[in-house]
Formats: sequence, structure tokens, C-alpha cells
Amino acid sequence: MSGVGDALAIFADTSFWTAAIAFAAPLMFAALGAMVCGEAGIVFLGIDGAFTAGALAALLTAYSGEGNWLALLVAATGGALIGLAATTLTSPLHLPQRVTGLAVTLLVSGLCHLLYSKLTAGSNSLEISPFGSIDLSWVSQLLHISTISELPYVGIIARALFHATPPVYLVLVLAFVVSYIINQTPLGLAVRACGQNPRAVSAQGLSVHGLRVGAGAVGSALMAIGGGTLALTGGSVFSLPTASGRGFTALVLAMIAGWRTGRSFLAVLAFAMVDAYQLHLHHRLGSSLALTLSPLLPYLILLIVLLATSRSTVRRFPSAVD
Amino acid sequence: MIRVERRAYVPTSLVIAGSIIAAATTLILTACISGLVHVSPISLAGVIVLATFGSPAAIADTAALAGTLMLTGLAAALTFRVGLINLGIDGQLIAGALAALTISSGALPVPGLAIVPFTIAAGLVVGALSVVAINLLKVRLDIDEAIVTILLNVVMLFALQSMTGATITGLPPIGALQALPTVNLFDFPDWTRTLRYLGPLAAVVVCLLAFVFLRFTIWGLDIRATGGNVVAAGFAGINVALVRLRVAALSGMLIGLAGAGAVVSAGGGSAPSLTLGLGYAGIAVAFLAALEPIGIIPAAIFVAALLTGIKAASQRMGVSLDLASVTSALLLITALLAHTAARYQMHRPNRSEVS
Repeated sequence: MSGVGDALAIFADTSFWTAAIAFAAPLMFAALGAMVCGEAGIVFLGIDGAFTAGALAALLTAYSGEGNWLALLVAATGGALIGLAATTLTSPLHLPQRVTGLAVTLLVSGLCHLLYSKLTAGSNSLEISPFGSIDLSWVSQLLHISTISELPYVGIIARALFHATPPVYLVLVLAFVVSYIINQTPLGLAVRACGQNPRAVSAQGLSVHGLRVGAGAVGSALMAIGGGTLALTGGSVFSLPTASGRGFTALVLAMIAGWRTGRSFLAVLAFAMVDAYQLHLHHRLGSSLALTLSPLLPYLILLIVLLATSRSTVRRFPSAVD
Repeated sequence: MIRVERRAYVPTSLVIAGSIIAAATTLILTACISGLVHVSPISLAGVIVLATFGSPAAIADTAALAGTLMLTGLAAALTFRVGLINLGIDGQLIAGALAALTISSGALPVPGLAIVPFTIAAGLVVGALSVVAINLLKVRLDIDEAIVTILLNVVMLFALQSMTGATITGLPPIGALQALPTVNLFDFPDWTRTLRYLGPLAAVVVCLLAFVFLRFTIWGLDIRATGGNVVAAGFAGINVALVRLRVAALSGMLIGLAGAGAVVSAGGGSAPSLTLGLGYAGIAVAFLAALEPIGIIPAAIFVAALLTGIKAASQRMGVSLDLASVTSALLLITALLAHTAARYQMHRPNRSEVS
């Protein structure tokens, strides 16, 4: 087995790109949510709790036979409530943001796991029918770019992108909507001003607390949809512990990207690619000793990038975070 | 018309009352939650009391946990006081314990019992270095230390899972109490087990020393001033960066001591099991104690009793151990709310003030 050839061959594998996109989708939702909060001057450490709650809510709704879209809606509602509660504690009631966020994560994910272990006691797993991939290759034919899938490498990526699950397209649409609202509307301006200069917002007669609580609810709903996506795009059996820790990852990715939509999507995709890559490498080479620490690789790269870019991200960090 | 105003000075009695209200509220909420998952709160309370104070062995267990929580709680309180939001105590505790394990498993060619001080020293050094590193990153690179340390905890968990060879399907929920079996190659003599009983006493002494240190020394005054108002402290000529560095090193040593203590006190020929989640519980202890070293002692005993009880209940009554992290979180939120509320007062202005 030639190591280097094998290592490169992974990139020519459609399943690698499919996996990378599948890994990225939940994180993209969560990063989008973190971005909305970040713009309003909230560092929402409750993100992991919202993510886990979204995963559990979606799992339970889908398990009870309701549709997957309704499951995502339920997740979003749950997430919005968590965000509402958490930002009410931090903004009008002035509790410290980070510690409160941590407490929210501990509380919510603890409750979720409590409920989950109660439901799956006796190892009866909750089976669901996850989102299937939909075929959008007709779009490329419509746009007369059907030859794109015959190109080397690009074609592989295009094939993976045109056969993704519905939430992948949903997150792309939502990203456009959210970044339009944030960057182009008066509401978005007010939200951004909450992050940069809350006093200016008060001077305009707007409520900083109201805007922040609203942004927290919307952001947290997006994070919860991310969790729901993770639950509904995996296999027919989803185990809740796989959701743990991902919310924080998305938060760091959004932070590295300086709370910009496009950049945070690139960051998320890069992270997901490294994650998918190490998993594929594991499958190909078997569990050799050199690879025991490979699940750490994406996180180590994440930390290094975070430290390397810290100077530049600070400039874009909302200055009014208390 | 009643106004809500900030108090110029918060009386100690109010702080204590706040802590007691927070603890009581947490107990009530925990009872409600256990009722929701179909566990009778009354039998749960029975199990908790029996498992924590029911027998000498149970008391020793609770005391050992209280000792660890005193150290992590004090470490959290000190760093939070100077504005270093270190949420990574969990990971740092594990790092200290692993360093201690490495030394005690024969990384150093030291004969016999001389290994014990080296083991503890390894924990101290690694603990101190890890917090100092975070502090330097905050000062030099202006990173958000809360986010980085919490991510480091996740990374540490991954590292541990990889090292123990478990297949990675997911992480335990953030903050969950989880015993982590390790292997200790060094055969500690039986008397090191007595450290299990001395440990909590030592932790109490450390808390008392910290109280005296903060209250009656110049370095302590610097810390209190930095915690009160960084800008004013700077103007008063206090080198805030140095104060933070000192506190980071000190609290790191406390965390490392807790980690190394868990390794050494496990006794001879045993596989010490490190418990994950105690760092997060330590943060709850710190806030329950309103970041006061002297308050850490009762707060740690209370939290230790709750956690030991819930652990026992999870073995005997089938309650999920996740109830422990829920309880820590509830304590954290109620304590934050109670102590924030204590800082304000209702004031009915008289006629002259209104006009």
C-alpha cells in the first residue's frame, strides 16, 4: 500500500466530498447562529447546549413519526426559547456572559442527556428515517453547465454538491437571508451597532436589551437547527453524544472568520474537510498506531489557526462584549 | 415610585443569604427534575444522605471529593477575581494528573518513595504552566480565554479517549461526571492511602491561607484591587499584568495539586480513576461562595455531598449521572442570580429627591 498515493486518492473520492459537506452542514447552521449573536455583541457559550437540545428535539419529533421538516422547526423553536432565556439572563439582568453561557450549556445538555438516557434505557435505539439526498443535477443542466461534472476534481465536488441533503441547501439560502438582513437593512444596522456601540443604539431610542435578546433567540434557533441537521442527516440511528462539543467548534470557527458569513462557511468547510479526511484515512489504513491521535487533528489545526489569526480577528470582535 | 439602585457596599449577611437561597433553590429544582424522570425525590434525598454521611467510608468519600472541589473552586475563584475567565479547569486537572501519572509510572529514575514528592511536583508544575500559558495568550495575543479554554477541554477529552483506545463515537456531555480509568505502574505503599484523609484537611488549610493572603497581605490587596477595578488598580501603580500572572500560576498549582493528589492518594497497586467534570463543579463552587476563599469551604462540602449522593443514586436507583452536571449548572445560575440581585437595592426616594 503506497501511503502517499492513497492519501491523495482520497480527494478523488466522491464519498469524501459527500462526507465533508455532510459534516459541514450542521456546523454551518451553528456558525451562522454564532455570527448573529456575535454581531449583536453576545458571545454565546450556551451554543453547545442549544446544539444538543436541537439534536434531541429533532430526533424525538422525527422518531414520533412527524416529518423531518417539522422536526427542524421544533428544534428551532426549542433553540429560540433557550436563547431567549439565556440572553435575558445576560442582557437585561446583567449576569456575566461567558459563565452564564457555560451554565446554560451544562444545564441544557445535562437535561438532554438525562432525557435521552431515560428514553434509550435498555438499549432500545430511536430509529428515524433521515433526510435522503436530493438530485439537483437538473440545475446544472438548466444552466448549461452539465459538463462541469465531467471535469477532473471539480466534477467530483460538483457531483457531491448537487446530491446533498435538503438542509445543505437550506443553510445556503438562510446564509443569504441572514447576511442580507444583517448587512443591508436598518434592523441589521441596529443589531451590528449593539455589538459595536450600544450607547449609539440607545441614543437612537432603540432598546439594546430587546435587540440583543432577539438576536440571541434567532442565533440560538439557528444553532438548534444545526443540531437537528446533525441528527437527521446521519444514519437511521443517531446517538446524542456525537453532538457534544460541536457547538463550541462552530463558535470558534465563526470567531476565526471574524463573524463574516462567507469566511465562516469557508472555515467550516475546511474544518469539515480535515475531519472527513482523517476519518477516510482511518478507514483506508486501518487503525494503525500513528493514527490513534488523528481525531485530534482537526481540533489541533483549529487551535493553531485560532492563535495565528487572533490578532486579526480581534479587530472585528464586537467591542461592546462585556 | 420605587427605584432599583446599585448598592455601594454589599453586606456579608446578604452574600451569605444569597448563597443559601441559591443552594435551596437548586435542591428544590433538582427534586423537581428527578420527579420528571420518574424518580421519587424523597427516596433520592434518602440515598443522597446515606451515601454522603451514612457511614465512615461514605464520609471519607465525600470529604475526598470536597477536598478536590475546594482546590478547583479556589483556583476558579482566584482567576475570576482578576478577570481571567478560565473555564478549562477540567482539562488542566486532567493534565496535572497525567503528568503525575507519567512521573509515578517510572519516567524518572528515582528510587522508592522519593517518587511521591516528584509526582506531586509534576502535577504542580504542569498545572501552573497550563494556566500561565492561557494567561500569556490572553495578554499577548488578546485571545478570548473563555472560548479557548472550553475548546481545550474538548480537545483534552478527545486526547484522553484516543489514548485509552476507546473508539470515538462522541464525547460525554460537557461537564458530565465520568470516571476515567488509568493505569499506575508505580506501587505506592499503603500509607499513601492516608493522604486520602489528609487531603481534604490540607485543602481546608489552603482555603484558610488564601483567605488570610487575600485579606492581610499586600499581594492580596493587589489582587482585590485588580478584581475591584482594573483601571483604578493600574492608576494606583499596581502592575496588573504581574498580578494576573501570579494568580494564574497560583491557581494552576492548586489545580495541578488536585490532579496529582487524585493519583497519589489512590494508593498502592490500584488504578486511580480520574473523574471528569470536577473542574466545572469547581466553577459552581466558586460562584456559590461568591468568589470568597472562606466561603469555598462550606460551598465545596455542599457540592461534594450532592455529587457523591447523585453518584450513589445513579448506581442504586438508575438515575442518570447527568443529573450531576444539571445540578452544578443550576447552582451556577442560581448563585449568579442571587449574588447579582444582592448588589441592588430597592429605594423609595422621598419627595425632595424626586423633584
